[in-house]
Order: sequence, then structure tokens, then C-alpha cells
Amino acid sequence: MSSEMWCKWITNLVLDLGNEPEWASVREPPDLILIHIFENLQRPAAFLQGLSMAYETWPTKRHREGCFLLSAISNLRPVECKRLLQRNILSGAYKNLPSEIDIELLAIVARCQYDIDDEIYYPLINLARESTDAKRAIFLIQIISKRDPHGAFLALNELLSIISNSREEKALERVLRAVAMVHGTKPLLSWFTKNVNQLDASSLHRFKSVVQEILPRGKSPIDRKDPFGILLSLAVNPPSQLELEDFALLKAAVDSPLLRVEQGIVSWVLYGLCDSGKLRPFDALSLLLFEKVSRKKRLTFDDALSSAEQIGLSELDALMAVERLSRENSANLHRYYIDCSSGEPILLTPLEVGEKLVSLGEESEREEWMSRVEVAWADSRKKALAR
Amino acid sequence: MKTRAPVRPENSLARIVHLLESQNPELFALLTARTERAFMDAVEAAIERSIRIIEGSAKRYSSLDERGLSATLTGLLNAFGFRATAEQDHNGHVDIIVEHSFGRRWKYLGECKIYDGYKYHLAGCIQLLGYCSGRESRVFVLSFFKSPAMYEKLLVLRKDFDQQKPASQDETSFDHTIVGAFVTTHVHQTGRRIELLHVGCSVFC
Repeated sequence: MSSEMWCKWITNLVLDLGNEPEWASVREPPDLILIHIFENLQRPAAFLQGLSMAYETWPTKRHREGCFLLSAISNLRPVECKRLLQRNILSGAYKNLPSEIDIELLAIVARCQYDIDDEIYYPLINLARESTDAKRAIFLIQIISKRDPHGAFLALNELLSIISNSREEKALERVLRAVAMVHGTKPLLSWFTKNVNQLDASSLHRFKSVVQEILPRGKSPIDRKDPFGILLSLAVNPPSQLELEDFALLKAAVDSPLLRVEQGIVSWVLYGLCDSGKLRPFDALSLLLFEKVSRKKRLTFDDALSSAEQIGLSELDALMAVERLSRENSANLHRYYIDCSSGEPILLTPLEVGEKLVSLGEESEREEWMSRVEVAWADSRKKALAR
Repeated sequence: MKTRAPVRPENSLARIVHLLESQNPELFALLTARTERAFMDAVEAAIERSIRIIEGSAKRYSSLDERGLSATLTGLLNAFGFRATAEQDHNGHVDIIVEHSFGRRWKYLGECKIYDGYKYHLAGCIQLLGYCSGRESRVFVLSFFKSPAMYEKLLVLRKDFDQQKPASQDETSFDHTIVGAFVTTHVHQTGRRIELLHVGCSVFC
């Protein structure tokens, strides 16, 4: 058969299928039928050409069936599909489509096997932005994610306006699940930390339930080995009281290679927790210091004092809070003594400090020496020495 | 060669030592302690000081559970210049480990319990002795009393220990300088004798 004959045959087939009201429940969808026909042809070239011709000459009032044609083309001739999409978008053919059609288009592009360039991407994004339902949002996530593997955060931001206008009860939940399926918990955390203030109580509740379901399960939180999960669970469910083990978990999360580039997120979550008003002041102080050390790599007493002042706690609280982090089962910081009394700074062991104090008999000598020894808290000698 | 900036006064060892000294006038004696006995005396003096502080604000602490009370005690001990840790693994699990701030390898193990009669107290003692490696000279069990008549109860407790000599207790108890406290001696599975200090703190209000 020639391509023209195939064009006519395909057009009639799809129109006939479309005229049968119950076709969807008794048959395969037309695009799959077309794909099966193609797979059984010995010389499929004319068929493929006919398929494209059928789409190009498709009656504009039968959009729905036209999408089946485009879907078949997308599977069988991806490059051709891209060309057709670009051409139709440029000509404005998709501007006033009925709403069910743009979903089909989004679905086709979300499943496509070609690069989505700007000519297709932006018009479709704009099309989806105007809508308010979760189904479009999910396709949108897939499209954005295809263009940029790290783009799910962007996708979530894009979707915020869609979700906030949505009347669908489960829109947010569906969108979050879709993102988690494609990208895991990391973009959820990013999005949550940026947008938590815009969420109402009901959305927040739904977010929590989704996140709790998504978080990897293990015997203990540390077994989960999901740093974002650890941070998320703290951000979503702030404990009434922080235990040493919580700092150990946070340390494990912050030390994870995955999070190293995401310092901003760590800081944001920790500050958010401190500001939540749910923590005891002393816990908030420890958390502020933890945030500082995750950023600066070493803490001094001055750091502790300024944080304590911020919260309205005493000097002694400052010292106790920083000491709280220097435990093996906590943030595992060590207290270092840096002797700066001679030119080159020298790290002293606690035992050496003790012996020096004993050897310096006169109080004035001791005072003089102690004023030239700096105390710093860090998780390694190198970090302790770096100012 | 790059010269290192001078140490800022607030970051100096002098600043921290002075702060700790304001809480514990005997700090320098602790820092320069040369024997384990001197270290233990310093710890016990600090425990007594902590007890006074907690009893002085009993209302504030009476609602805490054992974990919260352990954390309070370790916080206070840290403020006095020790390195005290609550709930650290030590041959299993122990409530409190008090160490020397400047690296001497002495440790004083302890357990905090809310008092609930002889049997519960004894269970805590057995648990604590089980954590010991045999190198410890003395360990302590601090009982928090949420009910009245602490000293009478401590006397009854002491009597029970002396009569029943549980947990391989080999001698009659003896007094301790802390009011109401007493010390029993137990033969550890390693064959070494370990002293157990029983001390009370009233959070009844």
C-alpha cells in the first residue's frame, strides 16, 4: 500500500473506533492498535508516512482521536513527532484546545523519547500552569524532570500555584507522591523548606502523611541512611525535647556526601526548627550551635556566647550547650586546646593542659598561659586549627 | 610566615576556667588532682552540690523522669568542670559516666533512679555493678525521692542491705559524708571489691 492509502485507511480506522462509544472498554486504545499493526508489517515505511499524513490532515473537531495518532507517532517516529509538535505549537494550533486535549498532549510529551527543547517546553508549561488539577501537574513534573534531572525542585515551585488554586482534595498529595516516585525525598525537602509558610494546616498535614509514607523504613532512624529523610522527619515532626542521639542523627545527615552541596537547606531546616517555638530554649541553643559548626567546621566559646545571647540564655548555658555536642553519641565534636603562646600554634592534649596547669605554680603565670590557649570545638584536629 | 592572630579573651582557656570556677570553687583542685581518690572526692562533692541545687528547685524537677533527671545531673556536673555523660554505652548501658576534664583516665559510673522501694533500688544496683569492668573503685546510685520522708527511707534501705547483703555485699555498710548517704561493698565477678555509694535527693514538693 502507498502512504496515501495508508493515510486514508488509518484515518477511517481511528474515526470508526472513535464513533464506537464503548470502544475504550472493549478494545485496546487506537494508538496501541496502530503500533501492533506496525509491528506486523514487513514493509512499514509507507505506513509510518501514512500515519504522519493522517495526523497532519486530521479534522480539527476530532482532537481526542488525533491525540491517539500523535501518541502512536511519538512511539514509532519520535523525531517526526517532535517536528509535528513544534510545527503545531508555532502555528498556534494548540492555543485553544479543549482541556481534555492538553492533558493528552502533556502525557505524550511526558512519555516521549526525544529531547524537549524550548519551543515545546515553554508553551506546554504555560498551558499546564493555567490549569488547576493534579493530573496536569504530574505530567508537568515528568516533563520538567526530563529536561533537567535535578529539576524537580523547580517543578514543585512551578506547581505551587496550580496546587494552591486546586479544588481537588488530593491534588497536593498526588503531586508529592509523583515527585517522590521520580526523585525521592530530596526535592520534597527543598520545596517544603521554601514553601512551608505558604501551606495551610490541611496541606501541611497531607504533606506530613505523604512524607512519612515515603521515608525509607529501617530499624532505627540512622539505619534509614537517608539524610534528607532524617532532616525531613525533624522538620515535619519537631520533637518536644532533643536528645543526644538526635544530634548524632543530624551529624550523620550533614556528613552525608549527598547533603554537602545543600548547606542552605540544612541551615534553613535547623533555623526553622529553632523558630518553631516547639523546642526548649536550651535545645534551640544546641541546635543553633550545631548549625554553626556544620557551616564553620569549628566552634569557639564566642560563637556559643553570641548564640546564647540571641536566645536569652546565660554564659553557662552556652558552655553546656557546646559541651553537649562534644560527645561520641552526640555530634561527636572534640574540645581542642591550641597553645598560641609561641609562634606556631600547637594542639595540646587535655592531659598536657592538666600537667601544664600543675607545673605553673604561680597564679599569675597560670593566668598568663591560659590567656594564650584557645579552646575550640571541632570534629578533627585540622578543623580545630583552621581559623 | 603568617602570624596567627592573638587569642581573643572570650575564646581563651582562661575565660572558660573562670566561668567553671564561678560554679565550682574547688575547680583548680579538680584540674590538678593527681590520684583517683582525689578525683572521686571531687566528683562526690560535685554530686552533693548538684543535689542541693536540685532540691532547692524541687518543684521544677519533680515532673522529670529518670532520663530527664540524669540529664539534669550531668548538666550540672559539666558546669562544675567535669565531663559527664548521660546514657552512654558502657559494657551495655549506664546512666551517667563522670570523667576528668583534662584527660586523666578516671571514670566514676553512676545510675539515677526514681525511688520505688528496696527491690527497685537493688535492681538498679545490680544493673550498675553489671556494667562495671572491675577496675572501678566506687560507683554511685542516686535515688530521687518523689515522696516524703527521704531520710527515713534511706535508713530502712540501708538496714535492708545490711540484713540481706545482696549482690555479693561482703561487709556492713558505712557512712558517707553526704547526709543520709551510705556505702556498701560488693565483690565483683572479677574478684575485686567495688564500693557502691547510695545517695538520695528529694524532689518531693
